[in-house]
Parts: sequence; structure tokens; C-alpha cells
Amino acid sequence: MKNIYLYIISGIFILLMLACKEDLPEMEKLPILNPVSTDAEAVNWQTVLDLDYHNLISIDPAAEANTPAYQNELSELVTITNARTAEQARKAEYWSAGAVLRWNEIAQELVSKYNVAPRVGQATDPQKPFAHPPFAARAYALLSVAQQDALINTWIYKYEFNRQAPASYAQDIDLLFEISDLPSYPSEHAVVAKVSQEVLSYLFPLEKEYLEELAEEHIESRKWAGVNTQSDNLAGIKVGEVIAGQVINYAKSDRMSEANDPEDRHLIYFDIANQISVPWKCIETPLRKPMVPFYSIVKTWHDSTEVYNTTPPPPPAIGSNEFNEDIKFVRNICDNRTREQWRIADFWADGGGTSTPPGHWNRIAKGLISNESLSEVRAARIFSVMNRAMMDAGILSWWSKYKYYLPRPSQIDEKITIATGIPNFPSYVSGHSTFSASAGTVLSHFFPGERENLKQMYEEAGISRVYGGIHYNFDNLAGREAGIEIGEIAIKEALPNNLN
Amino acid sequence: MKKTFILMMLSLYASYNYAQGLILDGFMQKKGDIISALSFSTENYDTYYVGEVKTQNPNLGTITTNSTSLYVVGGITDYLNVVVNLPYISSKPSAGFWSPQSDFQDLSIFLKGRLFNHNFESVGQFSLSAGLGYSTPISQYIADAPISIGHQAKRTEFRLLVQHQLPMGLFIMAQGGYLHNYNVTIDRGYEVLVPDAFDFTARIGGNIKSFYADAWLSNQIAKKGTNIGPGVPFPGNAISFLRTGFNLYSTLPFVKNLGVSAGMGFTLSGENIGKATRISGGLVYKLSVLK
Repeated sequence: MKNIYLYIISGIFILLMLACKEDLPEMEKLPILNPVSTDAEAVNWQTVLDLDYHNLISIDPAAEANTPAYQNELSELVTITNARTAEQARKAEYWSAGAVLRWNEIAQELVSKYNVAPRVGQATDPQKPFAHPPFAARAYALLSVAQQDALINTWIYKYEFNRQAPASYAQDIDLLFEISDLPSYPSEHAVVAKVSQEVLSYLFPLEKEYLEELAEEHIESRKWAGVNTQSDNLAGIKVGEVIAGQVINYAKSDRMSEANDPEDRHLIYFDIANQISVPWKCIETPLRKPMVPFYSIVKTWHDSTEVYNTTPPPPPAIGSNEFNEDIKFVRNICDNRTREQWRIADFWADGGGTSTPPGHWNRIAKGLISNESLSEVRAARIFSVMNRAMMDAGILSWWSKYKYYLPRPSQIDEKITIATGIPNFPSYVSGHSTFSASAGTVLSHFFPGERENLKQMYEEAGISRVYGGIHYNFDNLAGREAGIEIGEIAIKEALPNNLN
Repeated sequence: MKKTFILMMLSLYASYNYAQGLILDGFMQKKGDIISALSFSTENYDTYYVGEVKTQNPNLGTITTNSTSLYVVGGITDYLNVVVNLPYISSKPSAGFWSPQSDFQDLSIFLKGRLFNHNFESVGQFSLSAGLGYSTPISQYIADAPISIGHQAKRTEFRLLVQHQLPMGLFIMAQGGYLHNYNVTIDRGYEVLVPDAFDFTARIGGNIKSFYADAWLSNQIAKKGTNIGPGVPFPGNAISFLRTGFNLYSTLPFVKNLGVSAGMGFTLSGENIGKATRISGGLVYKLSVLK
């Protein structure tokens, strides 16, 4: 009788052991991209960098279909696709979700990996950058500008040479999935793989080999799927290399290298002593230098006068009635924080080790783009408008932070407890609010049906910092206002380029 | 009855902060007997393990966790007991600005059955028991923060225990358990895998008259999980530890069915957990409903 218990219980034990085999997917599953439109008119879109790309790039015209060279490529594709392994199919499907989307994910993964504050006193290592939000905003902007400029040029070549998909010349190719009638030379996947690999290697030098492997696999996967030949890929690589070179040149001269301030020169530069009665100070142990005090001198993507015109008015003076009301508001939230307020604070925190608030908005954009099955070139364009707006929003926000040098709420009232880490730089205006409102405004333009949702999201992202106990609500509101205005500047620039 | 006193000692292990299941013992309550205990404990640490590396964080200082646990064991039959535990936990840092946390944590329910029992007369009594437990958070406490009272993970656990009682009142007990944790959806909006763990505990103890003492060693070994780090969700951390401690118990001379207990616990080594020292005390009350 007692043995029965033993069997039953052992059985349950074994089931429990089996149950723990479940696993979570590492990369998000996305559908294979079959764009609603090939966006042939993108050949007329404006590139971001005003360069004579056509003269910089030299690719051979696409070989005619009946040439032995191209016939060889086609038979190579027949062989490859007929011998395709399950692993190759899996990889080809992974990349086919969208070259732009996948490389955006990779950029986020790297930002998360490098978003670790160096130890206090540790010298900055250019090989191992600290991918904080301002760094990340710039990284995403550089990547999407490179992807956009590369893809616009690719579209120009595609429609100039008008080579059809390999399968339309060779029926024996075992296609892995259906593709659109977008001309195939140069391969837009090879272009994005190459340009992204190089820009990201510039930003994260230690990842060079990893990125090389990814790009190689990505480019090869187009052959495994039977959708691009060798010359499609090689031409794509060439376009990618040239554009990456130009974007990296831009990055080298955008003054980001001067944004750090190990000697506290910003105290003089911003005349802090005469600016505020109680200046911001670091409230961490041990003391740490504030984050990129000179981010505001980095080159903006949009007209800098227009960007700086959005600078908010000074915050309420410390000790004024208005200020006291506001700090009481924060204190009250902290003393009575609801579970939902905590959830919101954590949901939008995007702190150390994550892809940062700009990364969070890239994920939101990715979802919208993927849902609507937009072409690679349109996806790149949307990311580019959004990420440039976010970087400019960051620059403006950092300008305001150091110009006004307002302490965080906990520095004024040490009983203010937090639900998220206190960022180590001044309070006014909120970076989260500015980043989020600019991104939400840009996305509302491209996805008008989502306008209300997006507004709710950027407002929640902004107030989340007040719920977290690390911002006054006026930081949030002023940041939001500046962010919306910068989003509008970005949209205005995108408009004449026939892009809705 | 001596066994009654001994039985209650397990209440002292019941809510050792989080990341540990309810440790059972090999003694059984008779049908209709109910024992309840209210225990209080305080534990603190200023050093914690990131992976296996000892770390301190001056922005948290010393983290103090207090808990109050209600613990009840009831005999359904002489061979099947039900064990229930509910702790209320508060945790706060001594430095920095992180919000303190307090709430009811996880309700645990165990069924404990005696599978085999043999009395060897001169060399004592040997028993084999098994426990099947389930625990579930009963409040919305914060799970993914440097200061938290638990991981919000539902858990199923299974334990096997062998115990040998020597005639002169000494006993030794050994048990092994498997703790299966269910995934948790964190506030950031996604699901996190909470690693399962093995738990091994040994205890030696005995009693003279109405006084009881024991010493224990407990080792939890987590399966694959993450280390504490920037951006890493806390519930996914692989939490392992080696702890030791002792317990004392005595009945009160003038109050019938009431006893007091006291104990200490020490963390010898660990992974992704505080190097905590714990002091506990409790009140134990026995009630018979079928007499």
C-alpha cells in the first residue's frame, strides 16, 4: 500500500524534472517580410548626408541574364538551394524578417551589453564605450542614417539595372519563401548587413569579429533562400562599404569625443555658481562625474537654431512656492506609491544593462513597422527620422540639464525614496520625456492610426520618472513639450521628400 | 510527548528570506492534532554575492529583513500531515534612496506523508517521508528591484526525507528536494525564467526533558540562471547557498501546550544572495481537536 504512494510521488517528481526543460526564445520571432509596396519612388528620396554618393560608389552594371557569368551564378544557386540544410533554412528565415529590423535588434543588444557604468576612477576606454542614453541615441541615429542612405542608393541601382529575382531566370532554384518583385541587384540585404556591420564595429570596436560573422551569415543566407546571387551580394557589399565609410567620417567629426568632462570644465562653461542657489550634486557613493556634460556641443541632425529654440524656460526657483508644491507632489507619490505607479516606473526605466529609452522606442517602432510589412527602405527611413529626432532631443535635454543644473528631488528632500535608479546628472528637463515625446511625435506622423496610443505611451514614459521619485513633474512636462517640438522639426524635414 | 516539541522546530526555517522552500522534518502529527507557531526573525547583510564574488554596495548599505511567520501543521491521519506557512516580510536598506518593501509574501502548502517506518527496538526508529508542496505569492509585492521581499514565482517542490531516532532522544535527519519555479512576468513587461533548484539539508538534534536543541546544514544549488548585474532581472538569478545554524526550544513551565524557540543561521557561501546572518524566535502552541 505504502509503495503506491512512493510510485505516485516519484512519478510527480519525474514530471517536475521534465517540466523544467521549457525555454524562452532568445530572439523575437518575426514573420518573413513580404512588403506591401516595393516603394519604387524611393529612388527620389533625399539622403541624410548631402554627398555625391553616386560618384563615390562604383559598381559594375548587372550582367545580362544570358551571360555565362550570370548563368554560373544561377546554377550555383540551384545547387545551394537543393542542398539546403534545416539550419540554413532557419537562419535564412530569421534574416528574412527584415534586414533593417534585425540589425536594429543587434544594435540594441550591443547597447544593452555596453550600457554598464565604468567603475569610479576608471579611465574611459574607447574600445569599451559606456553605452548610456546619449551614446545610444547617437548609435541608433548613425546606424539608421547609414541604413537609410545606403538603401536609397540601392534602390537607385535596383531600378537602374532592373535585374529580376534569380528564380525568374532559373526555375530549378528551390525558393525558401515568396519574395516581392523588387529588382534584386544589388541585394538590399547585403547592403544593410555590410553598412550595419561597419557602423556598429566603429561604435563597438571589440565586437568587430562577432559583427563580421553575423554579416557574413546574413549575406550568405540570401543564397540559401535562393533569392540573391553572388553578384547581387557583392554589389550590395560595395554599396554598404562606401556608405558606412561616409557615415563613420561624419561620426568622427560630430564632436561626440568632446562630450565627456573629467575636469569639470562645465562648471565654468555654464557659469553654475551664478546660475542656481542649490546646484546639482552627485548623491551616489562613491562620487562620480556627471554624464557627458558637453553632449550639447555635439552636432545636431536638424538645424541647430531650430533645435535650440525649443529650450524650455528656467525651472521654478528652489524654495519658491511653485517649487515647494512640486517637490511635495513627488514626496507624496513616494510615501504612497501605488503598485501600478511602481510598475510604470519600472516598465519605462530602461536603466543600466538595457537598450536605454531610445532603444525602447526603437522596439516600439520595430513593432509598428513589422505589423505593416513596410519595405526595407521605408523602414530605414522611419528609423532614421525617429532616431535623428531622438538624438537632437537628447542634445537639447542635456543642454537644459547643464544650463539649469537643477538638483534631483532626493538631493533636496532625502526622504524621497525611489523605485528606479537616480541618474547621475541634473534633473531639468527629463531626458526620458524629451526622448519619448520626440519619438512618439515622429511615429504618430508615420502611423497616424496609432497617434492616441503613442501619445499615451510617451506621456506614460514621462510621468514614469515622477512615479520613480527621480524627477519633478515640471521636468517631465517641459521635456515633453521640447520633445514634441523637436519631433515636429524632424517631420517637417521629412515632408518634402514625398514621404508620409 | 517529545516528538511534539521537536516537530515545531521547523517553523524556524520556514521563511529564511526568499529563495528557499519550506524545510520539513521527519516527525508526524497524529490525526486531529494541530500545532501552530508564530515566529519572528531578523536577518541582515552588507555583503552579497554577485555570482560567487563577494560585493558591497554603499548605495544600499546594510539590508535588514524582518519576517513574521504563521506556521500550522495538522494531522489529517497519523501518516499524512498538512503544513501551511505564511510569512509577512519587510526589507529595507540602511543607505541610498531605494524604497523599503513590506508585504505578505508566499503562501506555502505541503502535504507530508510517511512512506515507511520501522522500529528497530534497541537501535531506534527509522522513517522515510515525502513532501509535496506548492507555494504562491499572495500579494503584488515588488519582485524585480534591489530591495525586494521575494521573486513572485509560483513553486512546486518535492522532498524526500530519511530520519533516524536513537532511543536516548537523539535524531539525525537528511533530506533532498527539487524546487520547480514557474516563469514570472516582470514589470518591464516580459517573462523571466526563474531557475529551479536542488536543496539538501541535514540536521542532528536531541532533547532532554522539555528542552530541545539541533544543528543544521543546508545547501541549495540552483540550476542555470543569471548573475546579478545591470539590467538583469532579479527573479532570473541563480540563487545558491550553503547555510548552517542551530535551534533551541523549551516548553514553558506554567502554561500548558505553549513553548518558546530561538535560533540562529549563518550563510557560509552563496551565489546571487546576501551573506546574511539571522536570529529568530518563536512561540509554539499545540491544540488537539479530536480529544
